[in-house]
Amino acid sequence: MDIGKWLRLQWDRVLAWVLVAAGAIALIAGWVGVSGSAYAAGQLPYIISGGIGGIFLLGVGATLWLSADLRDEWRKLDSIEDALREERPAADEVAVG
Amino acid sequence: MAEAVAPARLRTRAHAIDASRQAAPARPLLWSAEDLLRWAITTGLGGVVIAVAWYIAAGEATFGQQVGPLDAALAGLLLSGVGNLAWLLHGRRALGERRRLLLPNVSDDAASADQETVPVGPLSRSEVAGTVPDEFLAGEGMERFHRPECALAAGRTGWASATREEHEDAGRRPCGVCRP
Repeated sequence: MDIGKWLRLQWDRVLAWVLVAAGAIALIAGWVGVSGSAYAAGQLPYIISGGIGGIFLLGVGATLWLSADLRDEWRKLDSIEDALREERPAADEVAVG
Repeated sequence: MAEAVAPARLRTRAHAIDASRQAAPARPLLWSAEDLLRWAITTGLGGVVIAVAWYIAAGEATFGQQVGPLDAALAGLLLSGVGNLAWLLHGRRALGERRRLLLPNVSDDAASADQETVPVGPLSRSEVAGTVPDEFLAGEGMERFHRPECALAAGRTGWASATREEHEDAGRRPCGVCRP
């Protein structure tokens, strides 16, 4: 399959993975930074940027991933609605005839 | 005379276009622009608060001066979390409402099937429904035939079961949803 087309179709999942990966990297970097500093005042910026920032990125990534699932289900309902619309006129014709 | 007929034709065509526009319903959206804006504001604001809190905390020399920015960062995280949760809950609710509207019988049928099904072996849903797997369902006068487990066939007790060939001989096409 064409990668560009796949990226366009699955942009939300790709972005979700990017954000989740960035969040994981931020958490690891934060841990490395905290473990390398002996003072609380030196550790706190790493806790905010790596810890809280990493959790923030993970949360947004997870939201995007779940949104993509919801959107897929919504599109499935679109196709069901289209199919129902195609069925109904035929049934009405029979009922009238 | 010809001049009088031409505007009448134009009017008829205009009416036909209007009718087709009215007949083609606007497809509903899962999230409105207002939902998107609310989510973008809460998430963006949360991210900005965390970034600013980090910037301020990194410039302070003592732990006591950094507690305020830490609290602000936690508040930013909470704000974005609430925004994400509201976004997902709204999407789930809209999806459930539309599913109930389009397929009112499915949830009832699924609930009754759960109560009635006895786990005696690996039966397929079509076998539970009393039809063999290579037979498909369609109603009288319908254009499409469906798998027995298709959502569009749920609750249609009056539909007849027949083979693919019989349905095709009757001029029916496969359902676009279950793709039998």
